[in-house]
Parts: sequence; C-alpha cells; structure tokens
Amino acid sequence: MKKALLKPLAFACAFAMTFAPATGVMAEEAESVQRDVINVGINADLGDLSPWGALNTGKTATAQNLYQPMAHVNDDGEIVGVLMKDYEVSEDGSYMDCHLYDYIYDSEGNHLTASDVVFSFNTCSEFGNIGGIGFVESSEAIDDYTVRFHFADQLYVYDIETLFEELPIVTQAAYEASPDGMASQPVSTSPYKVSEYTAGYILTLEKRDDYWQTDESLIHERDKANVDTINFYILTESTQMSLALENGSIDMSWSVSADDIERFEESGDFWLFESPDDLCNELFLNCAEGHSTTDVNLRKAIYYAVNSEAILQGVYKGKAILNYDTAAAKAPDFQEAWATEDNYYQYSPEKAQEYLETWGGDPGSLNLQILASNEETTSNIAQMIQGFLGQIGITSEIRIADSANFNTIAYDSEQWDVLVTNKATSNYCVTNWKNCFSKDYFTWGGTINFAYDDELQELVSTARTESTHNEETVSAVHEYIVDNAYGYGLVNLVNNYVIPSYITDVVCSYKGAVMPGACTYTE
Amino acid sequence: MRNYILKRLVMTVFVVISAAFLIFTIMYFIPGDPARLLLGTEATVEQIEAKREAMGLNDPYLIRLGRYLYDAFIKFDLGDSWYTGVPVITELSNRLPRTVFLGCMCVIVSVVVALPLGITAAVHHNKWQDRACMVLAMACVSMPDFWLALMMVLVFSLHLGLLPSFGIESWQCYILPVIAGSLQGIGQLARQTRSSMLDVYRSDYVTTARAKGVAEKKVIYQHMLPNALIPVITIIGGQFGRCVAGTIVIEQVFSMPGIGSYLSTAINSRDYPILQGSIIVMAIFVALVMLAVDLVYAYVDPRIKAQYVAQSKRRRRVKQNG
Repeated sequence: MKKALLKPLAFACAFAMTFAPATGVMAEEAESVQRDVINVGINADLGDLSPWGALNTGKTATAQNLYQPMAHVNDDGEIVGVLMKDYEVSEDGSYMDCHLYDYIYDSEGNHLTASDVVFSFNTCSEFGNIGGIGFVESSEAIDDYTVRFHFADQLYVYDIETLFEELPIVTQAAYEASPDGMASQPVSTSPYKVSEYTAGYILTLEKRDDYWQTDESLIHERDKANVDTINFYILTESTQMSLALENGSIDMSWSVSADDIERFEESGDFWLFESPDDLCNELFLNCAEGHSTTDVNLRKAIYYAVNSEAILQGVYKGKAILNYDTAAAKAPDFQEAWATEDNYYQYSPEKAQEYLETWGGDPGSLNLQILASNEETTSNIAQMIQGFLGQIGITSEIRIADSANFNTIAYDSEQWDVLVTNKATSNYCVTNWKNCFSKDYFTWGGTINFAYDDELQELVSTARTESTHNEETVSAVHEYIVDNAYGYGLVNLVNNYVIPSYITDVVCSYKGAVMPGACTYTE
Repeated sequence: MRNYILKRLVMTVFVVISAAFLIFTIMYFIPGDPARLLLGTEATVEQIEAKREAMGLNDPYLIRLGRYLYDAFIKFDLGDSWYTGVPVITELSNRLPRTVFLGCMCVIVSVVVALPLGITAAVHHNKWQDRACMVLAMACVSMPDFWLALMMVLVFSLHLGLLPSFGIESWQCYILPVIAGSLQGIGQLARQTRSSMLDVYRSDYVTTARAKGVAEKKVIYQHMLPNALIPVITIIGGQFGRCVAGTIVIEQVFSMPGIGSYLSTAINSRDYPILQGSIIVMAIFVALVMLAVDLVYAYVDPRIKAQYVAQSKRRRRVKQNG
C-alpha cells in the first residue's frame, strides 16, 4: 500500500501572504494582538449558509470561515491536515484511507467520527453542487476514525486536493437536528460560529471558546482565530464598497473595482496588494464545419491581430496581468518559459497579414459574429477585438448575451464565430484545459471551440492523469494548443485587496478570499 | 359597499392567478438553463441532466404549470429557492416588511413635501413661487435616484460623517434611502397637485366661496383641496403599489435586504421559485392597494359613495319586483 504522509505541521509551509505595502504605513515589528472586531466588505450575497448548497461569490468569500474541510492545500500544493491526521492512497490507486483526529467536536458538542465524514460526502453528492468530487464513487467508515474513499476511475491531477478542500464536513447529528439544513444556523468544527445572519446584509461570526483543536502546533494558519468578531457586510454596489472603506464602515475588502483602487494608493490608512485571480479573459474561434475559422491560418491571423497589451491598458487600466495560455499563470504547472516564447501571438499586424495570405481567402468577404457576455469587461473587450479585426480588413458584429443565456448560446455552434469569455483555473492548468478542450465535458463530443481533435484529447488526458502529469506532458498540451490556435489567453484578472495598515500578515483561503480571523493584527 | 368590496376581492383572486400564469409562462420561455447556472461551467452533462430532472425542468409545460398553480394557490407553498433551498415564503416574510416600510416612508415623505409644493405653485400661479416649485419638481423627476443616492452618501456619510452609508441597523440608516427614494414621487405628485388645484381654482363654488368672504386659507384647504385630491390619490395609490417592487435600486445601493434585491438576484440566476413567488405576493399587494384607493375615493368624494349606495338600492328594488 502506497503511503502518503503529511509533513509535520511544524515544518508545514502555510499559505500566508506577507506583502510590503505599495504605499501607506505598516507597523514595523509591532506586537500582534487579539482584535475585537473586524468589518469586511464582500460584493455578493451568500444566499444561505448550508454546507453543500450552490456555490456563489459570496459563499466563496466566507465558506472556509464557516466549515472545515478534511485538509488545506497550500499554495505550493502541499496538503496539510485539518480534520485528518494523514491519508494513504492504495497501491493500485483505487481507494484512499483518511485517518481523523479522535477529539473533534462541533460547536454543539457533537463528536465527529468517520461516519460523519461519510454522511457529509453522501449528502454533498446527492445535492450535486460540488462537481469536483465526482471522481469518488463511494465512501465508507472502516472504523470510528478511518474513512475509505473508493475512486470511480483513475486519479487525475488535483482530484484528491479538491476532495480535501471542497468538501465541508459536519456531524450528522447536528445536520439532522437543524430544521433548515443549516441554511441559517451552521453547526461546524470551525473556530468560529455564526451569531447573526441577515440575508443580503450581514454575516457575523464569533470566536468559539471551545474550539476542539487545542494543540497550537496543529492549527493551520488559515484556522487561527486572531479576531473575536468578524462582520461580513454584503455591499453589491462597487462605489458603495469604496465609500464604506473610506468612511470606516468597513475595514477591508478584496472586491474593490479597478476604477476605485487608485483612491487608496496614497492613503496612509490602507495598504494594497494584487493577487492573480482564477479567471482569465479568453478568445476562442469556432472550429465547427462551415465556419471560416476552421482554418488554422485564419485563426492565427486573427490572434496576431489582437493586441492583448492594449486590452490590458484599455479595459483594465493596467490592473491585470498579460497571459500566455488559456490557463492562469498562478497554476502550479504553469511554466515560466511560456511567457517568453516567441510564438504566443504577440501583437503583430505583419504576421497577421502573412497568415491571411497563407489562408488565401478574402478578409473582406468575412462577417464574423463575436459573442460576449453583458459584463462590462467582456463587452468592452469584444469592442476592441472588433476594432482589431477591422484593421486587418475583417468585418464583424458583436452579440451581447446576458450571463444566464451566455452559456446556452456559447454551446451552439451556429451562433458565433468569435467567443470572448472568462474561464477559471481553479487549480492546475490541466483542469482548465479539461474544461475547455476535453470532449467528455461537452454534449457534442467536441470542445469549447467545437474542435474534433483526437490528438488534443489524448494529450490533455495524458497530462491530466496523476501518474503522467509532468513538465513534458503539460508543455506538450500547451504547444499543441498554441500551434493549432485553439485558444488565446488574453488577460489574467487580479483581485485588488485593500487591507488596513494595522494588519501585517494576510492569510487567504485556497480560493483567494481573505481569512480575516487568521490575519495578524497590531491593534 | 360591502358587496362592492367582496366583488373586488374576488376579482383580486382572478388578477393574482392571471399574474401567476403570466409570469410562469414568461419564465418558461425565457432562454437560459437554470440547472447549468446552478452547477456552474465545470459541471458535466450528466450532472446537469440529473439536476434538471430533480428540479422538474424536463416535465411538459402543462404539468409544470399545474404543479405550480396547485402548490401556490391550494397548498399556499411558493416553493424553495433553487439556489439556497430556503422557502420563498420564509425569505419574503423577512424581506417584505423592510421593503414595505421603506416604500411607505418614501410615499409619506413624498406626500408631505409634494402637496404643499403643488398647492403653493397653484395658488401663486404664474408667479415666481410657481416657477420655483415647478423647477424643483422637475429637478426631482429628472435626477436618477441611484446617482442621487451615491451623491448623498458621499456628502452626508463620507465628508460630513453625519449618517451611515448603508445597512438597516438603526433608524438613521433609513434617512438617506428614504430621501433618495422619495424624490421622483415628490416631483410627480407636486406637478399633479398643481394641475388638479388649477382645475378647481376657477370653479363656480370656489368663486362663490370667495364672494361670500370665506378666508383664502379656508377656500384652499376646505373647498379646493378635497376636490383636487381624486387624481392625486390615484398617484399616491400607484406609488404605494410600486413601493414593493420599485425600490430595487435603493436597496442595492444602500445594501438593504428587501424584495428588490431578492428579485434582482433571482432574475440573474433564473431562480424561478423566487421570481414566481415574489410576483404573486406583489400582485396581491398591488391589488389590495388599488382596492384601498377605491375605498378612499368613496370616503373623500361623497358623490362616489352616493353612487354606490344608489346602485345597490336600484338592484335591490329590481330583485324585489322581479
């Protein structure tokens, strides 16, 4: 049996970001203190507080404060146990055993055992809102503190990490005692418990005095409780978010728009940092039969005609990062060499013309349909792309679809030639490629751009498989996508974090949301 | 009068059922897959299909309509939110009072400010007071409420530090939203009041009252205003009805968790139970408000009450004779 042990937490590299402030004053060498209250602004409503409900931006911002997973995954990919001490994957990779601590209690005093983990997994699977755990076929309690997960198929990269991070665990007794499935009053093993929740307005968390993990050396950085009370205020209006920061109604936010971030750059009360988001703006060209863009030379001509640097400046005012793949640069398997290679569509009208001539058609005869969602950024990018296409003689029309219809239209090969969209890279590049180019995930057996390419499928599958995921296989996929112009990663979005000057260390969840309780305070 | 009220209540039921039918049909044909939206872009085809089956989205139109109408009007169950799982009726019962309170305060402020404005303008017709009042009314109607809301936050909350910029924690939190939400109403009401007052200004009974030496104030408030109020009451009634759904922008800007923000989120996420349940509640509210407006007419204008009484007496006579 293959044994995979967790490194002792004493040597664990927790995911803690410490940034020197770009501007503003930060306390130097000040002693950290326990803070009474911190007010945080988030830009979306949670809807409900249930552990396995539909995910949304509000939940992403708060979920890991409410519930604890089996383990945390650090930024470097290291798995550090929270509810479990260690885990072992079988030699044949068909199952995994997780060993829990035997002294875990939730805020109602219920003892958490292996059967509760099985209950949590089974209930979560029934709800079907967390798709990433679908690779687990079933779970069973081997004994009181050992859970066995049986895998449905071969393991792909980040499958295990997804299970560990994304499955909130609660006790069956607490869940069944809740009249509304913990929608309004969660009961969990988290160091915080909910004291007030008004949907659409505020979520208040109070530190628990009876947190089950009393061994400080085993408490992960993200599970520290350096604040007694955390207030999450829901402010959906971006201007209101900035005003609330300025007038002191809230203390921090990571949802400040790029337009407003400049107001805080010279402020002595805050310091700023940017962190790459999971989301990238991307450009895809329709490879379905009957579309001119099935020709690789035309696709390359279009890609070389698009100036991503201009998009970065024009749409994001420079507050984003140029990208060099459809996957985000923050992914652990993103290779730095991709940023410096010659063939990643650096803006070149001359090269665009060369490829147009190789294509051999008349650009003036084309009238491409550009599809974008009604978000301000993507619709602005669509307009810029229309201009770039015009520069090489290609006429185009823009079709804007609201977010609810966008995916329906995007999955219809008759409705567009050029697709401007956002795709997330929640963990590795290979996951992004799976979501873009793996035909198993699309009804027509194609990909996001309707390409039927068996070699691409093979390359993506090989790179995704846990045992064959390495630099060569990942690089092979990247080069194949670039050589065939299957997708163009334009810009990697960034989150703008506005942090009060009395916070010296900021700790974020694996989704990039600040964990206010885990930060280090000097007043 | 009692029969009239009963008849109107029965008609209200038909109105509400029609509204429910209409909203269901519209939502049925609107493009967009709620299951796909719910599960996100990383969901597989099988997961989406299973979700559609669980949500009943694969059933035919008539089956889904029948189930919806049965649940809403026989079982009084508006369903659970597809996103949160929270019963719609629970969430509405939490949010509706806040929205109604906010809306009512907006209407009260509108009436308190607009009526004197309109009366002043009418009484001083074609003088500088008239022009000043109408310019003010025009400004109120022209200013977008979201812009005004943010400007007030900037001035009163950020620069002066007098009022909170968002929330519902204290009565001070309602001052800025009420002012921002009432301005459009002030403009409309002031203009209508002025217009109605001018209509009655030159009436014979007003001239007679003046000729008899009645004090001008008495002429205005006891003779002119009651007769000018009928169209004004109509507008006030409409504003009351709109107060349930018309505060979306104010709720979004000031982070007030009311019906408006609830609906706004549900529209974007195609959360059908919330949309359908909220529309039913709003239809009931508006219908009841309109009924109340009609009853107020009868109270304010004795001619209307006499009309109802005469009609019912005539019907009774016909029945007895025949």
